[in-house]
Amino acid sequence: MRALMKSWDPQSETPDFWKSQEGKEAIGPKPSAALQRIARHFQTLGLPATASPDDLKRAYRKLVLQYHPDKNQADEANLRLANQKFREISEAYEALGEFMKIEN
Amino acid sequence: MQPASEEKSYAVGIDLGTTYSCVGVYKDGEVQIIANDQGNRTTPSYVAWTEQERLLGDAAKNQVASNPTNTVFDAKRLIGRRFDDPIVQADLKLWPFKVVSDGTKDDKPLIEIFYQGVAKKFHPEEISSMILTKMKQTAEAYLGHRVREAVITVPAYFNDAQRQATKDAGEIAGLRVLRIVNEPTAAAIAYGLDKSTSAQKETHILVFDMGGGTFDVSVLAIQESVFEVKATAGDPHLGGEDFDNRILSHCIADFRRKYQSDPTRNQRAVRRLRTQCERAKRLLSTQTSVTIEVDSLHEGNDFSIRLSRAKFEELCLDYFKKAMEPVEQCLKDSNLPQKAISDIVMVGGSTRIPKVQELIKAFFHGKELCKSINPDEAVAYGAAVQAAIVSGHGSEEVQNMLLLDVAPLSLGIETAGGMMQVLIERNSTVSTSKSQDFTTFEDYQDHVDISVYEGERAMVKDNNFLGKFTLKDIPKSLRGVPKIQVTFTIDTNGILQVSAEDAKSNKKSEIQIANEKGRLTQNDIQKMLQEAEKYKGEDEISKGDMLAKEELKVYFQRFDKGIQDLDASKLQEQDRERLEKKLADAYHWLEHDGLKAGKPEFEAKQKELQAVMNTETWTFAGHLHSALYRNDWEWRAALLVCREF
Repeated sequence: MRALMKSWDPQSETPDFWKSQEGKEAIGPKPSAALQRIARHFQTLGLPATASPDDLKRAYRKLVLQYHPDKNQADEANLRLANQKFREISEAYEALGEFMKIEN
Repeated sequence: MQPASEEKSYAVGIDLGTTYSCVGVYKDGEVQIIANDQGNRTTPSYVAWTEQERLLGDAAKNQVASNPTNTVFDAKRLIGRRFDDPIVQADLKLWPFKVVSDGTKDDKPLIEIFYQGVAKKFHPEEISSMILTKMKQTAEAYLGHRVREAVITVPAYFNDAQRQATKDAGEIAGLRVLRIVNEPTAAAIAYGLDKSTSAQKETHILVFDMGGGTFDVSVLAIQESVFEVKATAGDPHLGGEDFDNRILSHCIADFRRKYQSDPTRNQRAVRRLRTQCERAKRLLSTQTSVTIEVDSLHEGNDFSIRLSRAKFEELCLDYFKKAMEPVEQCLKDSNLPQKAISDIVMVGGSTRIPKVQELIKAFFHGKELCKSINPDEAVAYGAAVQAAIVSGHGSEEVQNMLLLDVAPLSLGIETAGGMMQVLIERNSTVSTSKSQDFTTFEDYQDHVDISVYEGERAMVKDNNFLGKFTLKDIPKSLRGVPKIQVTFTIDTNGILQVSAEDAKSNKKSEIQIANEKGRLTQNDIQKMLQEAEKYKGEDEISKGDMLAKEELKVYFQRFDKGIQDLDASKLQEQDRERLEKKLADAYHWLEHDGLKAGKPEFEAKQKELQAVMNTETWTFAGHLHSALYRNDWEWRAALLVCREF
C-alpha cells in the first residue's frame, strides 16, 4: 500500500522573533513552541498581550478590510501578497480566539 | 453600438435557481432587479426545443404541457453530479425528458432532446449556460450595454464539482464569472444593506433559504459592513419541487383509486397535473384549502380533488422536520445559543409556507421572523452587490463592504487504512491555507499517492473524491522517516490547490483541483462555447429566416396562381408542365432541405424561381404582371432582365 501516514513529528517551529535586535537571546527560559506561536499571532494582528476578545475582533475586521483579496484585485503582485497576509491574519484570529476562550 | 458603450460593461449578479432565476445589477448607487421581456422579475429556469426554434424562460415553461419530452428544467439538480448518483437516479423517474450517461468513466449525465428531427445531447452545464444567456440578455436589454462579467450564486452546500460546473456554465454563456457566491450569504448582504444604519454593534443573523430545489442555512456575524459567515449547513436536494411531487403522488393515487387507470405513463397528463399541484401549493400559503382540477386528464376522465392545508402539511411534514436539522447543526457549528440570533431572515419561495414558518418560529421560541426582504429577489440582490464589490464599480458604501465566506465541506486526504485526514475544516474562512506533515507507510517507499477528498465522514469511501496526484522520487528510507508536507490552499473562489513536498529532497508535486475529475476540460468548454455561439446566432437570425421563408411561400403561391390564370392559348402545354415541375421541385426543396436553410438560401431560391419565370415567360409576361409583381417598379426591372435574353 502506497498510502500516507500521519507524521509523528510535531510541526516545524516559528522563527526566532523573540530574540532582540542584536540577535541576543532574551533573558530567562525560552518560551514553549505553542507560546511562541501565540506571541506571533498577537504580533500579526498588532495587538498587545492584554487585548480582550472585543479588541481581537475589532483588529481582525480592520485588517481584513485592508488585506482581503477582494480589496486588492487591482494588480497581481499585490494580490499575492494580500492573499498571503490575509491567510496569516485569519490563522491568527482563529488561534487567538481559541486561546482567549481557554484563558477565560 | 457606440464605441463608448463598448468600453463600459456592467457586472451583474445572477441567482441561478433550480426552478426560477433572477438577475440584478448595481447601478446609480442602488440595486435594480431586472424584469425580463415578459415583464417578470424572475425567469423560469426552462429551456425547450420546438420544431422551429429554441425557447428560453417563460416561453419554454408556457408550452411545457404540449412538448414535455423536449422541455428541460431542473438542470441544477444534475449539474456537477454523476449519472449513477442515487439522487440523479431518483430524479430521473420524475422527469419527462430523457437523461443518459455519457458512457465515459466520469459517468456524466447528458440530457437528450429531439430538435429538427435529430437527437441532440446536452451537458447540464450547457442547459444552465442557456439560462444564464437568457439572464444576460435580459440585463443587456435593460442596460443597453454589453454584460461580460457576473457573480453567480450557488447553494452553500454545493460541493466542489457542482461549483466548478456552475462556473463552466457561466463561461459557456460568455460570462467571466467573477465569483461563485453562496446563496444565503448573498441574501445576508441584501438584508445587511437594508439594516446598515444600526451595524455598529456585532449582530448575528440566521438565513433560512428554501427555494425550489435546494435548502441552505447560514449563520452570519455582521459588524460595520463586514459580513462574516460563521457556519453553513443544508441539504442540496430539498425544496418546493419535492413538495410538488408529494402532492402529485397524492393526486395520482387518488386518480387510480377513482378510475382504476394509471396516468403516470402519460407524460402530458402528469405535466398538466404537476402544474396544477404547484399552483395549489402556492395558494395553500394564503388559503386553507384549494381544489385541484384538470379536465380530461387521462383517458377522457376529468380529475378533481380538494386539498386542505392540513393535508398538504401532513404530506410534507417529514421534509419540513428534516429542514430543522441543518438549523440546529448551524447553531452548533457557530457556537451560538438560539437567543444570540438577533434576526431570522427568510429567503426563497418555499419559506412562504406557513408550516415552515411555524416550525422555525417554534425552534427559536416564538421569535418573529424577518420578512422585510423579498424572498424571491434577495439572492440576486446580494449577488449584484457582490459583483459591484469585486469589480470595483460600486459606491463608497459598497466598496467598504466585505464578505468573509466559508468552505462548506471539510477537505482532506486519504491516509493509511482509507481514513480521511482533514486539513481544512468545514466552515473555515476562505481564503485559507493549511499544512500538515505526513510520512511513509512502508520501508523504502519511494512514492506516495495523494488522494484529495471533501466531506465529513471518517472514511474516504463515504466522502467525495476530488482528485489525485503522486509525489515521486522520495529518498529511500525506513517507514516513518521521510517528512512530507501536504499543503491545502483554497482561494476566495473556492478553488483548491493541493501540494506535497518532501522535506529532504525538496521534490514538489501539486494539483489544482479545479482542473480535475468530472469537470469539463478546456476543450469541452471551447466546443460548447462555439455551439452556444451558433445557437445565439440561430436565435438572432431565426426571425430573419422565418420572414424569408414566409416570403418564399407567398411567392410560390403567386407563381402557382400566375400559371393557373393563363389559359392554353397563352401558355403551351409543355411550358406549363415545365413550370409546374419547377414549382413542385421548389416545394420539395422547401419541405426537406428548407428545414435547415437560412435566410440566404430562401432568398437565393426565390431569385432562382424569379429567373426561371423571367426567361420562360417573357412572351406572356404581361399576363403575369398583376399576379407576380407587387408594383410597377419590380415589373419594369423584371422586363429589363427579360430583354437581355
